Amino acid sequence: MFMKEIKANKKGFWLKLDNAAKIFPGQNSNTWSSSFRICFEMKEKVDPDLLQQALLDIMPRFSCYDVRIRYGFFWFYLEKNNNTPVVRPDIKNPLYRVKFNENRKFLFKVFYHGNRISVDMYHVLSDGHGGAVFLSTLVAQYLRLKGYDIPAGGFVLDINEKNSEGELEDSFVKNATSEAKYKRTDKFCYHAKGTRMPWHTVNITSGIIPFDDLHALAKAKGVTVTEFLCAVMLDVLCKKQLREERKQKEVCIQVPVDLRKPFDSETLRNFTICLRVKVDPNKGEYTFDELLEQAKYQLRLQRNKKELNMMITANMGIERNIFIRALPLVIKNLGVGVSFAITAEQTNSCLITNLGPVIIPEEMRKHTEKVVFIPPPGKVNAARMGVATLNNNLCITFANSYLESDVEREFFTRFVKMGLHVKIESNRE
Amino acid sequence: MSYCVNCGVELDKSAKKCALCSTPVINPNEKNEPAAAEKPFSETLQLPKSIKKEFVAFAVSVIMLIPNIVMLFLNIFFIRQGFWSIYVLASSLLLWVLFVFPFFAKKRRPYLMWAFDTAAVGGFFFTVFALHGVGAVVTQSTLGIIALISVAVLLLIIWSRYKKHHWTANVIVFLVETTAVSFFAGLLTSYFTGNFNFFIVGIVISVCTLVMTAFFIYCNRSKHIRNWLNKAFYL
Repeated sequence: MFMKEIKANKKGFWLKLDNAAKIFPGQNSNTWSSSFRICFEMKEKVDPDLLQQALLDIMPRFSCYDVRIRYGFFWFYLEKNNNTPVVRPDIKNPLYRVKFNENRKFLFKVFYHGNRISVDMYHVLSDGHGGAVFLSTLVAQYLRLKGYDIPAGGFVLDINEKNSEGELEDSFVKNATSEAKYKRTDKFCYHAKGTRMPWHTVNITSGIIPFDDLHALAKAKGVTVTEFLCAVMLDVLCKKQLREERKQKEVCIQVPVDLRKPFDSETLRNFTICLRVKVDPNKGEYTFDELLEQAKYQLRLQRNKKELNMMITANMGIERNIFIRALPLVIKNLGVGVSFAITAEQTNSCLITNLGPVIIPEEMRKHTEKVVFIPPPGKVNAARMGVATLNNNLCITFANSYLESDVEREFFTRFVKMGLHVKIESNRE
Repeated sequence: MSYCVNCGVELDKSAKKCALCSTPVINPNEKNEPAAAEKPFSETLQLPKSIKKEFVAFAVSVIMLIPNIVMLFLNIFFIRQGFWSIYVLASSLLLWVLFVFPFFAKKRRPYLMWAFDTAAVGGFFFTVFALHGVGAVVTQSTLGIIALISVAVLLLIIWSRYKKHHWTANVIVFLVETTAVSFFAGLLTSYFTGNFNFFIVGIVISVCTLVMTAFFIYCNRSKHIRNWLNKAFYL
């Protein structure tokens, strides 16, 4: 059996996990995986046969996703998967846990339901940008098979080209060059109370807001859309903590940022780093304008090439440490598991990840309605938020492992009070 | 097109209630729409195939049985110095009754489990003491303490099944039982051994648990202190 696999994989295509991906297999459990979902809502009902064909057509272009994960002695690695991926009807509980030997050993799943085409992608493969590029290319090929003429461009890759070296590279390794020392100052912060949903289930709530209106509102306050959303979320969480009548802890929002632009990278693998926006309610009650300022200055202070380089170099430092490298994978996994339990989500109250505008050719826009980006649900975070924009539809989606919807309600009603139109879609019954 | 009268947000055509506040959707102009419109998410829930716990319990039982058979075989045919394999058999039986047997039950049967566990623990100590040749004093004291703890556990089961209680009430009952068990265990041991020191130890433990009981009774009655505890020890 083992020899057969070796012979089948004689081309020897394999990849090391990138720096960010190295922690995800260690965090994986029977009940939880760090996967995210991206959905394209089309204007017509999806044809599963054409979608299957489109998926097979694009797979050679994405050789870094046409892989399975294997255990090495020191590290996990990705190896060419000799199976063919399949599309399947959607499920009610997206981001269902990943098992390495299920799903024909692929680390992504393609679903269809009504007008929606969705991809659940394990974070080991890529970040939101990579997922969006993969899904955009899949949708473009699907539309081509339907008879429409869709050119490549933006997030849509030319499927006749081959993977470039830049697309497959681990950009962390290439760009971690800072000599400054990064001091981690994360401490335990506020986590909203709530009733946990049964394992394998998650509440998804999307709010669709006209992008132009929200952008104008943010611009009037002199902030970006992400900074504006951060401030609203900080306000919601601070007020919720106050209502809970408990010891007031720091509220901290994790904001992943795409490093491709500042570091001029075209990688299809992970290349993001998480920034943090924190406010301490013990310093006094913050007004919304003060929270806007906090979000604006804290994010802008961290979002520059030198600061980001220092952070990725610090992360790379752990991977490059000779003692850590020499530890067997089993021990590394244990270490990651323990570190995940005592740090990670414990040091964040919420996550806001903004994919930004999904850039697709004009010919494709006519057939698509919106993009939904669902972040990995948290274990102790009440609601984590993903944002994506297409065709003036800004879609804010909460993945919530708790039964209560008070965070979502308070968040979206803020926008209603600001005079914006909000449309809600959810898998709640 | 429906809007939530409570939140002011537009709802999906298929929504029967608001996803944010659960307010039902009543739209007299579009009577059949919620049923007819397709929901944005599928209705099929994917859950992992669960392994039957009875199967796991059976596999563990078989694995536990093998070393026992080997030990018994060795004791009978090769190493015939006393009944040493009985120690292994008794320990395995105790572990099996305590940790494996409950998985064979399809429903929760606390009283049955309590009876089996008490018999297994009592039987284990009786067998070990009998083989080891310890005196009647140790056997009687140990079995007496086991009987006391067993009665305490039975009362705790009855209490917990009676109705749902606040956590402070559960702590109080547990502490009261610990007080009683410590007192009677000290009394019993000093009676069988003739050593009064055991009774003093029992009294000391009982007094400590009584103080803790008094503190929790105060907590249970005072809403203020309960709130403070909830806040200060919030996880």
